[in-house]
Amino acid sequence: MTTTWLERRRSRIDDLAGGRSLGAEAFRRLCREPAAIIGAIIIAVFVVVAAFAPWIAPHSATEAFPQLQENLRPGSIPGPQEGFPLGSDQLGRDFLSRMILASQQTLLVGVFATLIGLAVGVVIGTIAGAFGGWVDTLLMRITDVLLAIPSLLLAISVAALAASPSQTTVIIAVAIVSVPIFARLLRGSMLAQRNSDYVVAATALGVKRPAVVLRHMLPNAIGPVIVQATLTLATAILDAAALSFLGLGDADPGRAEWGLMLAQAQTYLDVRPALAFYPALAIIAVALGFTLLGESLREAIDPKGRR
Amino acid sequence: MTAVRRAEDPRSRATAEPLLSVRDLRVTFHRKGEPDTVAVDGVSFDVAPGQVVGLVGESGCGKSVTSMAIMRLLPDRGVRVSGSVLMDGTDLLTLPEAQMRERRGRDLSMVFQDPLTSLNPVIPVGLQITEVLRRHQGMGKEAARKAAVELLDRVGIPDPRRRLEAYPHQMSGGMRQRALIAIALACSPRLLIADEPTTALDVTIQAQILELLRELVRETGAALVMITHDLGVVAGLCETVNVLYAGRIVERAQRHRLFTTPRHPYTHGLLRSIPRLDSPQGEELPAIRGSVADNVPWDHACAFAPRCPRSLDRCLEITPEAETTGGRLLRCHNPVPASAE
Repeated sequence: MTTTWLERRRSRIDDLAGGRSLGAEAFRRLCREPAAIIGAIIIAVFVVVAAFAPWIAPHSATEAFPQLQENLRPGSIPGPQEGFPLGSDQLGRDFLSRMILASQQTLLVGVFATLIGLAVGVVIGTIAGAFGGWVDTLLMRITDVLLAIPSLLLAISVAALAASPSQTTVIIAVAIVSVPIFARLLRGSMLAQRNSDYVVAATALGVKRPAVVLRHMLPNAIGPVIVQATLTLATAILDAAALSFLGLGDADPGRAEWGLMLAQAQTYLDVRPALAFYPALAIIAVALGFTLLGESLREAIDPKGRR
Repeated sequence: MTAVRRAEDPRSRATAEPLLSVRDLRVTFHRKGEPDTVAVDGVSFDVAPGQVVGLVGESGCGKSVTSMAIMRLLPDRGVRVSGSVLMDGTDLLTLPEAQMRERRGRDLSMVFQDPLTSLNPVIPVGLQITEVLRRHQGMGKEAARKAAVELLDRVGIPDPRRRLEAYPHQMSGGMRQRALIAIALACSPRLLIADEPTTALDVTIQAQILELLRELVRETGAALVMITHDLGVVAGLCETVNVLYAGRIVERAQRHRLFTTPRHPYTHGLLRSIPRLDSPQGEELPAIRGSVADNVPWDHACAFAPRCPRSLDRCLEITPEAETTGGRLLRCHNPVPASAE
């Protein structure tokens, strides 16, 4: 009698939990974290601006305006004025429009580089973690070599290999840098899954090996990798900006891109520091947004936390 | 139906071909720089269709390794398994891995010790049941769902339709073990190995789970190998009991005979160390002295000798052989006299 009462009681408690999955629980924790909300707001603003850039920007990014150009002379670049809230850039183009349109480039490079890195890293990590043995050893030694090279140096080397620098080479260079991080992380958590009771249990039920790996191990192991992806977005954006800054990005000098704008602004640092200030601020803010969200996500998914 | 009837009739069972026949099973673990560890040392036993066989022993005596070896779930590296495990005349140990995988979950399956960790936390329970059904029975999504509801209902989970969507962490320990049993029995295997299915549960739930296992085994006609350190579990469930010590079977008998007249000093000690309601108050509980760490290797001795109250000189010189008399297997130089208890 007592036991049926107990079980009824337990199922009532379960009802209160309301059929929430682990993901939903994590999301709830995330919403209570101020850092996560700030990060999410920054990212939301950034994504909206990037998505609707052509409509938000008052002017084109490449058009030079006579009314700005006529005030342009060595030692003086026109500041904010009627119709041009952030003033002119060094060639008489609308600085605000260039800032807004540049967000598209940044988002594009950041997201694609991270996705490519994630995809390749997940494949490598899954193979290494699921099979072990010499496959694991081989793959992990290669990632070790890649990890041993400082990330920016690696990105620069890869980008420099390209015959003609373009946005694609930047994306690939930044993606390659993130591959070993994802691969190593996933391999580690896959290994931890391999001897877990439910993996043995699934094997004992005759579930096929690919299904065990993809259906049972991967979903349990992928959490930290998703978190890492958010953090990698931040570094990808920074790396991409750095490559542009160093002139390893797209060859077109008229292109609106924060890293490139920052590089070009160096010459005019004493004339009009705002030209360097705003791109730098934008890069920092976006990187910070992704870092804040990523860190909070890490804590939400693993509340026991390492820190 | 025939399976059920056969399960209930002990005479036909005695003559029936064994479903599972373990012969001279030996599992050795190698580790670099260390001497090999023999976890299971020539274990042989038979399981008839529909029979419930117990495998009893303390921690480290090789019970779980035996079950893992039968299921072929031990890692490839660092482990050597020899002997044979015959099921339907096929040696499971030499079967190609792909064929073994076909059999796991369909012909023989296993219930694990810890229901808290044996279910995948990120997959709803329903999917974990349908997965097996679709894999082995080739059922469609809907058919498997329906069968899963029936299975959950059969193992006594209330509101099974809704439970399909539940994640393991939303269920209590007892319910999770019920779900695991449902998964193990999904494809009506003829052999179920239960590796201490009740250790992680509290006592009342334990009783329920054992009752459930007993019912299901009777209903489906499956044979059950019950692995446990709990003699209470054995007393309630098993027909034949194998007592394992340091990787060897030291005594095997029908449950009733084993409990009334244990012959091996180890079995005798185990039974005496169970607290009884009618024992006088204040009296110290008899215990087996020493621990597993005091074992000597079986090579030229009886592993239990250092802890044995009845050990003779030759117990430390000659390995006792297993001798079968009147349906009882005994491995002892100086057994407890049959009239002792």
